[in-house]
Amino acid sequence: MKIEVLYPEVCNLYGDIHNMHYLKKCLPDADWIETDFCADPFFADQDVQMVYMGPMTENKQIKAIEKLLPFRDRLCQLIEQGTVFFMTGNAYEIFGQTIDNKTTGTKTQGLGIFPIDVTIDYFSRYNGMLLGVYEDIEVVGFQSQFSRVSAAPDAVTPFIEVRRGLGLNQESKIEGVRKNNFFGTSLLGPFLILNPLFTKKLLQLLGVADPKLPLGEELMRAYAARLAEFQNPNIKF
Amino acid sequence: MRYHITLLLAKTISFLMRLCGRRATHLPGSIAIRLCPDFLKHVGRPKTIIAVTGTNGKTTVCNLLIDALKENGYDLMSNSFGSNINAGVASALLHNCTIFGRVKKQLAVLEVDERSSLLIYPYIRPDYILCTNLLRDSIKRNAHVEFIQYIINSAMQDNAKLILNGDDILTCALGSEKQQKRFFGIARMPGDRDVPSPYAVRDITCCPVCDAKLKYEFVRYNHIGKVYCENCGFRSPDCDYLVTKIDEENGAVTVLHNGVSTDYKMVNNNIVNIYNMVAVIAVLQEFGVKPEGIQRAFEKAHVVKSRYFSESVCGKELVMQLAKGYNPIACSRVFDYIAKGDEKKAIMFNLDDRDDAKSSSEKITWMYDCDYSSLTDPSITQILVGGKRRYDQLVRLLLAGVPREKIHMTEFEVDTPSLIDLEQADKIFILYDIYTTEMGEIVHDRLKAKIIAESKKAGEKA
Ligand SMILES: [Zn+2]
Repeated sequence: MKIEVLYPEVCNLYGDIHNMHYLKKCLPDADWIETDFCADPFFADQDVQMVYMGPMTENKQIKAIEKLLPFRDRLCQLIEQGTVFFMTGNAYEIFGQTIDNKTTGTKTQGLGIFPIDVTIDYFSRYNGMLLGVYEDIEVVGFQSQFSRVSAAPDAVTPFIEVRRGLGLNQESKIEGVRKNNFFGTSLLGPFLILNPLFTKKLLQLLGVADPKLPLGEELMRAYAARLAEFQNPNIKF
Repeated sequence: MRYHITLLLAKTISFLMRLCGRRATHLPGSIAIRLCPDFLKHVGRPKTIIAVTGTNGKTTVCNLLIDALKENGYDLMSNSFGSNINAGVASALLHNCTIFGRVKKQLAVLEVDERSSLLIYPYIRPDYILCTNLLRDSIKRNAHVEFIQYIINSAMQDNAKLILNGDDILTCALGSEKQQKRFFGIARMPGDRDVPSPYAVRDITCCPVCDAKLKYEFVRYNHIGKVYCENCGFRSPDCDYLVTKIDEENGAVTVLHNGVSTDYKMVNNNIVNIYNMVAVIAVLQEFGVKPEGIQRAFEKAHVVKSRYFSESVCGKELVMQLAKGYNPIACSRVFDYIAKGDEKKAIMFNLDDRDDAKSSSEKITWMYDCDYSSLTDPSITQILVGGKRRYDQLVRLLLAGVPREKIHMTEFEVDTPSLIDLEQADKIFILYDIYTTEMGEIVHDRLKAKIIAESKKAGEKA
């Protein structure tokens, strides 16, 4: 199994790289390809089972678009054929139509793979938590972002249905983007460590029949404690 | 007119607050800015303003700087008793004015929160801006370093002479080409690495000119070190004030400036405090204080008790160590410092954010930006974790490779002393945040009582 981590030296804000450190413990026999910011992606001419990218600064989003644009068609092909993509924080935003930075006045064309538009305002940072549902499991996570995403009604399939917390924007009750096995979410931090039930599903998508999580018991205990907090109506989100 | 009425009103509020025994270090300034948004532009400006900013170390630098200036006969004002945002600066400057607006003291040392730069620098136009470093900080407040860099640079005025950490290229990038810059740093020391640690996050990895991967002459921690780019020739600047020797045995630090080496008393042996020292030496010399005056001041200097305090209790060393949760690099440095030395150590690991524990749920992403790898050092025999986030800490510690049997958990922080095995600990670190000092003191007192009681029992047996 080949798993490509895109630009780990740059897309590594908020501890998200531990998603991959943890997944390595789950998949000790997988081949890991870490692609530098100045290199072409491995997936360009090779088959991979999964591509991961974590959150980055707003300037790096623009550069990441530049670097991935030549491989746009290949990205579409991989998404269509069901390759797993897992994009945390603001990584999935670059797959949209535009990124409009209101503070710096720059408007950038995205990869144009999903019909979403992103607006950035450095003077309006959102910090919060999210409680949501994916299929039959509850998902917990953290958000911290300058961006808001807009999409036409029903234009995208969301990753998560929001119970509490910020959706694509203030009015939205859906979060992230999903297409086949592409999962894009604004949630950041060590998502796979915070959500062991989702991690199991992800491992199943990667072909692990009956996944056993390393430190599974400890992860579940921390998950249960957080879930109980998030479900408490007195907790400030 | 608006300013004069605001000044009068804010002075009156300040006077009344002091009359009631309150400190008046935030509210008067906050009201003044609300009534007169450009209050800082009009309020009497001391002739010379030294601003101190940066992610870590600014309070320690300000304290050392203020003491050293006083020792050298300077009469100065500061915001050291108040906040470091615009309201705190406004309160301090307000206090430094008479009711008619006349300035009392002509030298100011102001600690400035990085994020507040835009609300402060354009109005008060500091003469010197010292930046200690720019590192990953609280996700809630600071987002990421490029954002902080953007904020500071947008606020910067060309008149300011910049005193910058030459070992931090993110800090070095502050200011414009028109500005005078002086750099301080520490030469390569034993323990510095050829390549970055795989466990430490770095906020700059690519060349700021050409995007190629940066190479290191040496790396000290996170992105702190000396870099160069093989592709375009970009490199870290040479330091005008360079620590060339750290003599732990004799408690001395040697600083090279303009070809002359001078020895100073080491204020504290933690590497972050050596940076704080050389930063203070740099700004003082740029301001005109002679090395002899700085040497004299450092003879009396120490890191304030509220940030680091060590005492010996019945043969055990008890250390109170400030460690701000939510600040991953500051915590990493503390963990690294604790791991040094061979004596058996225990850590009271109480790092939960006070406010989040009360009414929200802590965003624990910082634990994964923080380097826990030094906690696997064999000299650390016990980690006693208290508080709401104990299950998260357990996972993090286990993932870092700390053996399960060394980790003990309690629901409440103050109960951690009950779990300690004193026979396995010669040195005990109590970690606490500036907002949880009270809790830290309870832990300290309980621990001390336990040590004394057990030592007595052992004495009776003998
Ligand atoms: Zn270069």
